[in-house]
Amino acid sequence: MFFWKHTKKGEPQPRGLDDISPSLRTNLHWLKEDIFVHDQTIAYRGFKTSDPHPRECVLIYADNMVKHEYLSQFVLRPMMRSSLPKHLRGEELAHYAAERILESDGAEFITRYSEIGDKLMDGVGVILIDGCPVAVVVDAQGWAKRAVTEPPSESVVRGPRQGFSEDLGVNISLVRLRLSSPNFKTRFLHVGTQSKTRVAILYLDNVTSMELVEEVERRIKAIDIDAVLDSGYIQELIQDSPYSPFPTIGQTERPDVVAAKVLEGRVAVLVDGSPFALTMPYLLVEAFQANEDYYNHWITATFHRLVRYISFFVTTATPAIYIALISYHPQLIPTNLVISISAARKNVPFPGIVEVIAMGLVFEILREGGVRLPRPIGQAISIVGAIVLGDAAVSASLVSAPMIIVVGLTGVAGFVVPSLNDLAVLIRLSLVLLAAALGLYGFVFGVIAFLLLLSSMESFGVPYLSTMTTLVPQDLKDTVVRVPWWQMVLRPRYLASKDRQRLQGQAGRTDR
Amino acid sequence: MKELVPDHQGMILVLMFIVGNTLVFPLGGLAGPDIWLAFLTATVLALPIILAMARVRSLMQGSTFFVGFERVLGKWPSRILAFLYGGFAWRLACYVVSDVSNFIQTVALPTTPPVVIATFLALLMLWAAKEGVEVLARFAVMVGKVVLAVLAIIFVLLLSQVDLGEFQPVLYNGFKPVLRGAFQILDFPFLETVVLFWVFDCFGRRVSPYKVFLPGFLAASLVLLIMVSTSLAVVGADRYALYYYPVWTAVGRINVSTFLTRLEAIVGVTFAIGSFVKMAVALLAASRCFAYAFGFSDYRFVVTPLAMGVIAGSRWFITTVLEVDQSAVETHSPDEIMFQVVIPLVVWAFAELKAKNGKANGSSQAGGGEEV
Amino acid sequence: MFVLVILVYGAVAALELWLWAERPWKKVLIYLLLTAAAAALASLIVVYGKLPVPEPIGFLGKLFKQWWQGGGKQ
Repeated sequence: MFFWKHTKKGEPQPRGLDDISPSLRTNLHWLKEDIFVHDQTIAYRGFKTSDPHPRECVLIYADNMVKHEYLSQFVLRPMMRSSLPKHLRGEELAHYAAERILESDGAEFITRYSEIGDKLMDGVGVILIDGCPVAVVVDAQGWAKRAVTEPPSESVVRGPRQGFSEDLGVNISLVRLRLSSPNFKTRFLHVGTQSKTRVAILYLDNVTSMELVEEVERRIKAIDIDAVLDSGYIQELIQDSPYSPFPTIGQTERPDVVAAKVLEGRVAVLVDGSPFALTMPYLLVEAFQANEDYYNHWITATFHRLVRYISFFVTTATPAIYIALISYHPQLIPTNLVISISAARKNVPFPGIVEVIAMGLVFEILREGGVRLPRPIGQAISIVGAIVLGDAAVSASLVSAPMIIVVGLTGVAGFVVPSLNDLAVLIRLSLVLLAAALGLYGFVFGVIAFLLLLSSMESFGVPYLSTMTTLVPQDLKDTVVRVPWWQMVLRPRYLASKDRQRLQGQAGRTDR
Repeated sequence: MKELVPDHQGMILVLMFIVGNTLVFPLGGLAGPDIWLAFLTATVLALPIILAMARVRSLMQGSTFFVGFERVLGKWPSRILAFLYGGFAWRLACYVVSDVSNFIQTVALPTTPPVVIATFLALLMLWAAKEGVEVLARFAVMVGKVVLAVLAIIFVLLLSQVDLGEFQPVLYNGFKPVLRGAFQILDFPFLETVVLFWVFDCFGRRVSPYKVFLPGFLAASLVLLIMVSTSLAVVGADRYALYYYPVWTAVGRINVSTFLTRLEAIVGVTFAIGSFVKMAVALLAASRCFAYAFGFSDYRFVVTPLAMGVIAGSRWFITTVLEVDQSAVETHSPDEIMFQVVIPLVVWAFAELKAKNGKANGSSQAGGGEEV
Repeated sequence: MFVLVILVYGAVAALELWLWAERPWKKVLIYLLLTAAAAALASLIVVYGKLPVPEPIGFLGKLFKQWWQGGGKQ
C-alpha cells in the first residue's frame, strides 16, 4: 500500500494521500520522483492534443510489457489528431477521451497512484491529461509469450496436444474453449506482496459445491508471502497433510485435464507465470488415472490402469520383497530359482541390503544426472549407466545379476506412474530397510504404516482414499476400472457436487 | 468433535476385527469333524448379544457414545464400567500382540525376540489409535479387500485337496463336543466383538448400528466357517486341533505345477495385517474407556502409555507359542463370561428400561434421540 | 536391565509430554500414572520373567465353574 507520510517542499502541490492530482506536473513529479523513482523501464511519452485547444497529456507505460505499435496506432495517433473541447473540466476530459477519441478496445478510469503502479505492471498504457484528476487505462498487453505447445511432462498418443503456457489469460482461454458455458466461472485473486501474482480459481457454477470454492479462496487469501513464482508455492501453502509426501493437490499442464476435473466438480487454480494448473481436491486414485484413459477404448483403458497399479506395487515393493526372501525366507522361493540366485550371489562380497541400496542410489544418480542435461550428454550418461555400472559391475562381481534385474525393473516401473515417482523412491527405501530388519513381516509393517498414513489423509475435506474405501458400485466406476462413458451417469459422490447427473436418460448413446 | 464412520466401512471393520487374528488358530478344535455345526451354533448363540449391543447403540442415537452411555446408566456406573472394559480391551490388545509376535517368531524369525516385533506393532497401533476410528475404518476397508481376496484365492486353490470324508460321520460323539467347540468359538473370537461396542463414537442413522454389527458379524462368521472347515478337510479332523496353526499348514500343501507353492507366507502376511486391525481397535477401545473413566472425552492423551503397557503386557499374559495355543483353545475364565455375556445383557436391559421410561414420560430424552 | 527399561519409558513419556501443546495438570497426572504402571509392569517382567496373572473376579471363578459344568454337561 502506498501511504505517503512525507510531503516534499517545492513547487508540486502536496497531494492528498493517494489521489491523482488534476495538475499534470504534480502527477509526473510524484510518479517520477516517488513511485517509480530509479525505474528506467517506465516510459513517459508527452504529447499535446491538436489545435485549437492543445492540452498537455502523458502516456505512461512499462517498456516491453506493451505492444508499442498498438499504443502508437490506436492511442497516440487519435489523441494527437483530435482536440478536446474547451468547456470540458476535470473528469469529463478523461471520459470524453475514452468515449470519443481512443480506439483501443479496453479503457478504464483510475483515480489513485497506487492503482497506476499496479496497472502498469500488468502491461497497460496510462494516459494522464492535464487538468484531469482521472487517469485512463488502455489495454495493450504485449510481452513475450511462449506458444501453445504440447506439454513435455504429459505427452499423449491420443488426445489434444495443447498445453498451458506461462500466460494466465491464454491458459484460462484454453480451458474456456473447452467449457463454453456461462456457468464456467473464474475468480481472480492477487497473491504475493512483491509479485502481486494473479491467481485464478476456476469452477463450474452449477456443479461445484460452493463450500469447496469458498474454502479454496479462503486458503489462497490467507497466504502471506512476498512472491509466487510458480503454482508450486500455492500448492505447498494451501495443501492438506503438508507433512505427508503424498500429493493432496493435483497438477497438470493440460487444459483438457483441467476441464475434465472441473466438470467432475473440482476446483482448478491457475497461477500467472506457471504452466502448471492445480486441481483440488486430489485423491490417490487420480495418480493412476491418465487423460488418455478417457479417450481410448474403455477396455484398454482399464487394462492400462491395472498396469499402473501393478507397476506402482512393483516399483515400491520388489526390492523389499527380494531382500526379505533372500535374507530371511529362502525357503519360500522355488528351489530352482533359489539355486540360480545363490549361484549368482556366490562371488558378491556384500549383503543384499547393501547391494539394493547402492544400486538404487546409482539408479537415482543416473536419473537425476540425466534429467537436467542437454539431450546428447544425457545419452552418454545412460550408456555409462548401462554398460559401466550394470554389465561391468556384474562381471566384476560387485553386484549380482538378479539385483540388476530387480533395480532395473523397479526403476522402469516407477516411470509408469509419473506423479508418484519421486515419492516411490522414499517408500521403496523405507520398505527395504524394514525388510532388511524383520524380513517379510518388516515389509508388512511398512505397508501397514503407509496405508495408515493414506487413510489418515484428507484433501479439502475429502478422505484421500475415498473411492478406494467405498463399496458403493457407482463410486467404483472410475477407479481400478474405467467403465464405458455411457455408464458414468453420475459425478463422483465425494465431491458433493450440486448436480450429480452427468449423463441424461439412457446415457446419450445411440444403440443401433 | 464427532467421529462418524460410514455404515459399510464400519461393517468391514467388524468383519476384520473378528476375522483378523483368528485365521490361523485351530478354532473350535474341540468339535472335531462337526466343526461347521459348532460354527453355526456359535453364530446363533452370539446373535442375541450382538443384537443387544446394536440395540443399545441404536437407543443412544443422537449423541456421541459416552454422552449417550451416561444417559442410559448414570454417571458413576458408566465410568466404572468403562474402566473395567478399558482393562478388558487392553488385555485383548496384549493377547493379540503376543499372538502375532509369537506367530512371527515361530514361522519366520526364530532368532528375533518377540518383544522387538511387539514394539514395532505397538508403535503402529499407537499411531492408528491416535488417528481415531474413522481412519481405522478406512484402513480396515483397504486391508479387508486384500485379505478377502487372498482368502478367496486360497480357498479356490485348496479345493482340490478337500476331503469331504473328514466331516463324516456327523455327530458321531453326540452334540456335546459341538457345544464345547461352539463355546470356544464364542469366546474367541465372536464375543470379543463387545470391545467394538466402545469404539464407535456415533452412528449416522438409527438403523446404522444394526447395519454395522449384524452384516459384519455374519460375514465374518461365514468367512471363518469356510476357511476353517476347508483347512480341517485338508489337514484332517484328528490333526486339526493338534497343529498350532492349521490353516497355515493346510495352505502349505497347495502346489500348483510346482510353481505356485509355499503360499503360507501369504497367509502369514494376511494374518499379520488382519491382526493389526484388531489390536489397533482394542487399543483404541481401551484408550477411550480409560480416558472416559477419568472424565475426559478426548482419549488421545492416554494412548501412548497404554501402548507402552501393551508391549509389557504382551509378555505378561502369554509368553510362548504353547500358551498362545492354549489361550485360543481353552475357554471360559469367569471374567470373560462376565464381560462378554453378562454385562452386555445387563446394559441392554437397563437401556430398554430407560428408553421405555423416557417414552412414557414423553421427556426430552426420547425426543433428543431423533436429532442428527 | 530394568533401569534401562524405566529409562526408555521415561524418555518416551518426556518426549511426548514435551510435544503436547498444553499440559493441563489432570491429564499430565493420569498420563504419568499410566506410564508409571506400564513401566512397573515392564520392569517386573524383565526382572522376574514370568508373573502371575491376576484374576480380577477370581472369587466368582469357582462358583461359575460349578454352574458352568452343570450347564455344559447338559
